[in-house]
Formats: sequence, structure tokens, C-alpha cells
Amino acid sequence: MKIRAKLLLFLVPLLLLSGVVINYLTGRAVCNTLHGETAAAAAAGARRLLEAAAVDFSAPREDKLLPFLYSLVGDLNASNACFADKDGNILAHTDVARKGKKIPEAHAAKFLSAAGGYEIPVHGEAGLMRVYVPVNAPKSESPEELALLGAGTEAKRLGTLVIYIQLRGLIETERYIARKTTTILAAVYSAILLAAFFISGAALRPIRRLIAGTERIRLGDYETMIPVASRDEFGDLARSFNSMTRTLSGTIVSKNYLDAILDNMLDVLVVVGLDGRIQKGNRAALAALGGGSALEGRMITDFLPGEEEGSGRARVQSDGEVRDHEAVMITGAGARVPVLISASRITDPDGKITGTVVSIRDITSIKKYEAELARSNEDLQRFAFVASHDLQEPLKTISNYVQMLEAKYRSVMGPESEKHVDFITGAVGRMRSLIRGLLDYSKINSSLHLEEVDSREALDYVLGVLGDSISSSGAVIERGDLPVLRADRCHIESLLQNLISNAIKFRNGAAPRIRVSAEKGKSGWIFEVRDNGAGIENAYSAKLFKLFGRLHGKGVEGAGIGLASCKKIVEHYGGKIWFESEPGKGSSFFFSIPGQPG
Amino acid sequence: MQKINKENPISRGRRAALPLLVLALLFCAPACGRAQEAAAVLSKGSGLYFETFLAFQKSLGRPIASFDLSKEKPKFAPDLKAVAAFGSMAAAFDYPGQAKVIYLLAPGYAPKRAGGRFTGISALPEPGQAVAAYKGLQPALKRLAVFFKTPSGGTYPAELAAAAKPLGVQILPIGLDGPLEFPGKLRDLGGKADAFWLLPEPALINKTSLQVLAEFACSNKIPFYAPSGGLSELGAAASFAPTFTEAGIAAAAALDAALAGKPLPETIYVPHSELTINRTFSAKCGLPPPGEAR
Repeated sequence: MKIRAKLLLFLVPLLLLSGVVINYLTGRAVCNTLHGETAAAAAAGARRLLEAAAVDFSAPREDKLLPFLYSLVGDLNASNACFADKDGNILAHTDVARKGKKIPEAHAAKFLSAAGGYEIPVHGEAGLMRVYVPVNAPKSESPEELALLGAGTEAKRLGTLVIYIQLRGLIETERYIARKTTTILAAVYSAILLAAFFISGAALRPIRRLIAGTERIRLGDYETMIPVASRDEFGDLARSFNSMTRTLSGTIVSKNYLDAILDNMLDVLVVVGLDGRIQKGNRAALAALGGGSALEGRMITDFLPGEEEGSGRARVQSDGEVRDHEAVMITGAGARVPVLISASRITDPDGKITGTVVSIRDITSIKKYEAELARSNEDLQRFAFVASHDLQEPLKTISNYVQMLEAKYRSVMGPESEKHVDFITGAVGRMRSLIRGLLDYSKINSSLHLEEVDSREALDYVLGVLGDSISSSGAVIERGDLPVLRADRCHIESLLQNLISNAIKFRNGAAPRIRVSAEKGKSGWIFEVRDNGAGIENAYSAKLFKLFGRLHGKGVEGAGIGLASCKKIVEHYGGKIWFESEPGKGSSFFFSIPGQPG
Repeated sequence: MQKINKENPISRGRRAALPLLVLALLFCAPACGRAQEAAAVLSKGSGLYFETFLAFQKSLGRPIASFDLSKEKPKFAPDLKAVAAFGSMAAAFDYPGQAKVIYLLAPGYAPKRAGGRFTGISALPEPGQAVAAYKGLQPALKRLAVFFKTPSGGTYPAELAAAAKPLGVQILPIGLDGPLEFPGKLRDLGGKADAFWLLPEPALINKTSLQVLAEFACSNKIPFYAPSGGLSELGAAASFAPTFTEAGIAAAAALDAALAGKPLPETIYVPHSELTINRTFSAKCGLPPPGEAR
């Protein structure tokens, strides 16, 4: 029901009730006033006639009283009149048949009242008002008596005039006034209702504008504005509506923008409710998972069966999000594809979790390339291994035969020839070293033999291997806290050996001072091998860890494979290797081994 | 007030005022020829006497010597044979001994010397017509009280009782010496009468007596029938009485008969009376509405 109808429905009973009450009270007041006025007028008229009449009430005779009574009735437009003595005996009555009857005792109070009065035994059109007018003997005191007695002497009561006045006329007057009152009330109430109708219409105009505005928004017109015409609550409402419209407009534009982005994403994106049912999905999701039917309402586990009890879901519940979690997705066509899942919770403005947004990336092609790359690397490793292994044998033959030639013909060779032989021997040695390094490098990618490795023991082993170099160079090796790692012992030993040998090799004239230490970092253990050697120019940092990347001439032995091997080993564990150096002041090489148990 | 039978004579008289003005001049013109044998004497040359005279004159159809008794003493021709006397004063005038006197509009008048010389045009309706009229107005009428002045009621109450008997109505004659007796007579009447009728007796009619009768009728729901249409307006249910016009016409006819030497009765009732109904009074007093006139 409309507000205006409610208002009118509320007003009409109230007005009707008030109208009835007003009419009733007015009627009562009018009735009493009319009765009082009529009685007073009749009594006054009767007294006036009494004063003018030449009737002797002290010796009343019917034939004398009747003309007076008829005159009284005529003048007062009364129905009847009579005169009764003090005992209530009717001495004369305009209806002569009633002479000799008695006024009932019930009327004695008013009848005998010195001031007169009136009463209405039965109120109705056929009813009569009885007006009692006392008739007293005229005072005949002389001035002397008056002076002695005063004016307060009680008049002698001769009887009472009773005037019967029909109520029909009064009732007609009452009804006339009631009709007038009703008409006025009806007019006033009609005016009130009309005013309420129009005022409510005017008051509700802003509401209608608001409704129209809401309808326009529903139809997509987000630029709708409502004119603010007042400073009252409706004005506030209009301002709030306009503000809401502006916000909504921006939100809708943003939503469209985001929808466009999401729909153009290649990755599957779905919003999942707390019950695990998909609430919304982008176009890619519909293409991948829908299979021609809608996604909304379907369980996410229908598409990610492994995640029903999977670690990804557990990490979302524990951490609030998961990134690049690998899983298998069943497409709408029933195919199983490898995917990377990233998911995070969605919360409302109050921080309450309302669902999860899940991004699923198809990594089928990546997996394919990874497999190809792994196969390629394996072939390469196999080639390097085979090449380095197979090259050692002829190289060894060359070296042996060169040594045999040198031994057999040293006496006949001139200095020039001896020099050439030394060149060949040196080249073969370097080549052997190079092939050995290459062979070690190729072995790094082979399968790991993880075990508990005490890095202190690994360092002891390395220092033993490098004992000659250390003693010859006068190097001092210091050690800090070194952890126990879960790794391939050979790898740890190779890392330490390469870095310590480099520190000894590239010393700065003075005896090398080398410190090996480790610290627990966020992503694992970070080892540091610090020296006081020649240091490295920053410009060489990019070249330093590349295979065969040498920063020095032939005067310094080395094939440029050591740091490359270190880098390969560290990356094999998911770690990093880097250095900090200042030429002439030494270097610090760091490498991290992540994923270690605490 | 509803008039039945006749038009209002006063209204008709006014319409005919102009041509009858000529007749009025006859009061001043000397009588001539046969007109000397008859004369008209009016108690007063105006009012109802004059209006009735006009009807009389018109019905007579010829000029007649006429006199206004309030202004002059009539001088009759020696061979006067008949005179029409309008009103009691005119009726009581001392006319020449040979003249036949036809009097009208004199309801309380009774000739001192009885005999064939005086004939009255009764102010009362014909008894049978009167009872029939009241019976028509009040079908349940069984007892009709009739107030009249004693001893001048004459034979009318008896004639009325005789005429009422065939109609199933009992006449209750109530003679009064004066209007002061009305209250007592009415109280005595109690519930003995279904209606009461006051005959046109000037001695009984005054303002108070009419008020007493009207109020008694009203208070006791007993229809009061007035002596004349005019009085019914003062407070009566109805009246049935001859009109002045009819009385004038009847007088003219009697005068012609007298001049022709025909014998005349002592009393002549006019052939048609007028029924006047005061419905306002009946309604005011709660009386049963008077029935349709028959």
C-alpha cells in the first residue's frame, strides 16, 4: 500500500472519530444552552406578562386566569400553561380538562423553588419542557416598613405558573445546528484530507524521484542524479543517493574494467565460496572447466580432485594463501592437465572470510619444455662425460710418448727442441686439467646422494687436500660456526675447495688469511669464505661465474671452471652464490644452501 | 385551510368589484318603479354585509333601494312589501307593518314577534348536510356534542338530532348561558363525545372561549368543528357553514317570492354550505387527518 493511502487511511478514522466526538459535545452544549435560554426567555416573558396582567392571583378564578394563560401561551409560543397553588393543585389550565389535578410530587423541588427553573421529563420531539415561574404576592410594604424590615423580606408565595413548551422547535434548532456543525466539520475535514493528499504528494515527490532514479540505475543509467531541493531529511536522502550513485558509477566502471581484464586472462580464475562451490569464474574458467555448462554452484574439487585433502588447500587455510602450487586439473572435457595454483582468501570489509579466489595456470607446455630441456641437459652431460673421459686416454698416450721421446732424445735435442717439448708437455697437462674440470662439471647434474654432512668435517678434508698449497703459501685458515647440512658431501667439499684454493691462488703478496664461516638465514645456511687477497674489480662480476671465465693470464693456473662449478652446485640446491670485493683488500664469497632443517 | 364547494366569496367579490361599483351607486340613487316595493337594509355598509348584499343584488338582477343603518335611518316607500335585512341590527329595525322581513347574517337574532312576517336565512347549515359533512370528515363519528346558546337554540338541535339518527350519529346538545361555562361543560363532557361543534352563537364566541375549545380539542384529541370557515382558522379541525354568497342568493330568492305573494317559512337553509378543513390544526394537535370531503 502506498504511503499516501496509508496516511489517508490513518487520517480518515481519526477525523471521523474526532468529528463524532466534536458533534456529540457540540450537540450537548447546544442542547443545554438552548434549553437554558428557552427556559430563561419563557420565564422572563411570563414575569413581564405577570407584571402587566391585572389578574388577582391571591383569589384565583379560572375564568380570570384563562385569558392570561392563553395570552401567555400565545406570546411565548408555548404548548400549554397552568397556574397551580402552593400545594400543586392546578387552579387553571389552558387545557381546561386538567383543572383540579395536581402537579406530581416528583416535580416539587423545581416547582416550589423560589428562583423557578425548568425540567424536561422526556427529551424528544413529543416531549415538553416545563418552565416553573413563581408567582408571589406583590409587596405592599410602606416606606416605613421597608425602612424597618429592609428589602430582604420574603415575598408571599401565591403559586406557580407552569409553562409547557414543546421541544420540537428546540430539537429542530438543535438538528439544524448539528447539521451546520456537521457540514462545517465535513468541509474542514475534507479540506484537511485534501491538504493531506496534496501535501503528502508534494512531500513524497523526492521519494518518487528517488524511485525513478533507482529504476534508471537498475536499467544501467549510472549517471542519474536527483535534484536536491530541500535541506530536510529528503534533501539528505537525495544527497546520499547522489553520492551513492557516484560511488556506484565508479564501482561499476571498475567492475567492468576488472571483468574485462579477468575475462581476457589466459589463466583460469574462479571464486570459491566457503562451502567449496564455485561462485564465479572468468571466461577462461568457463572454457576450461565449463564444458558447455555453467560453473556456478559446482564444487571446485570436481576439477581439482587432488586438492580435496591436498596441501594447497591446507596452506590456504593456514597461511591464507598459496603461490604456484603444482597440481593436476581435470578439464571440462575430462583431460588431466598439470597446473600451478595460486589462491588467497577473500574477506569482506569486516575482515570476515567470504571465500577464496583461485588462479589456475595450465603448465602443460612448460612441463613439456622442461622435459625436453632435461633430456637435452642429460644428453649434453653424457656427451661431456663421454668426451672428457674418452679424450683423457689419447691425451694420456700423447703425454706418455712425449715423455718417452724426451727421455730418449734429451741428449740429442738442442735447447730449442727441449723448449718445444716443454710446450707440448705443458699443453697436455693443461688440457688434462681442463678435461678433468669439465668432467667434474658434467658430473654435478648427476643424481644427488643426500646425507648428513658436517661442514666442519668437509672443511677438514679440504684443508687436507690443499695442505701443500696452504703450507707453501703460508696461508692461515680460520673457521667460524659451521653447520651440519643435508647435502651431497662431494658438493660441499667441492664448494669449499674451489673457494679456498682461489683465495690461496689469488693472494696479494702477503700470506693469505682465510676465514670460513656460516650463518643461518631466512632461506637456509649462508656460507662465507673471506680472504685478504688481491680482490676483484666489480666490472668482472658478470664474467666471474661463467664457464671458462678467467680473469687472469696463463701465469695463473686454472681452467675457469671452478666458480662455474660452484654456481652450478649452489643452484642445484636452489641457492645463490655471490661475492663482495674491493681490489687490494680482499674478497668475500657467499653461497646459500636453502631448505635445510632447523 | 381548504375550502370545499364554493370559491372564496371575498375573492370573487374583488374580481367583480368594478362592475358592481355601479350597483353601489344605487345607495345614493333614488328608487324607482317596482324597486320601491322592496328594500335592503344593511347593519353596516361595508364588510361582510356589503359583500353579501352584492351577491344578493346580483342574484336579484335589478336595482333595489338599500340603506346603511349605521349612517342613516331608512325612509321606505309607503307601498313597501318586502325588505332584506343584513345583520341583527337591520333585522331588529322597526319596519312598516305590511312589509315582509327577510333577515340574514343574524345568527343570534330571534324575532320578538313570531308569525309569518319574518323569515330568516339561517346561518346554520342544513342539518342533514352538516351531519353528513362531519361524518364524511370523521367516519368514526358516533357522538357529536353541539354547543348552543340557551334558550336561543331554537329547533335546530332537534332537527339536527333527527337528521343525524339515520347516519348513526348521536347529537349531544349542550346549552350554555355564556362563554364562562365552557370549561366546566368541557370537563363534564369528558370522554362522552367524539367531536364537538359550536354553533354560530355570537354570545358564546369570544377569544377566550375559542381558545378554551381549541386547546381542549388539541389536548384531548377530540376534533372541534367551528361555527364558520373564518373561525376554523383560529383553531378548529373544520367547519361546515353557509357562505355569505349563498345566503345572499337565498335572500334574493326569498325576496322575489315574498313580492310574488308566496308564503315563506320562518327559516330557510341555504342549499349549499362550504366545508373548510384546517389540516394544520389537526396535524399540530395530532388529530387524525380529516377525511376527504364528500
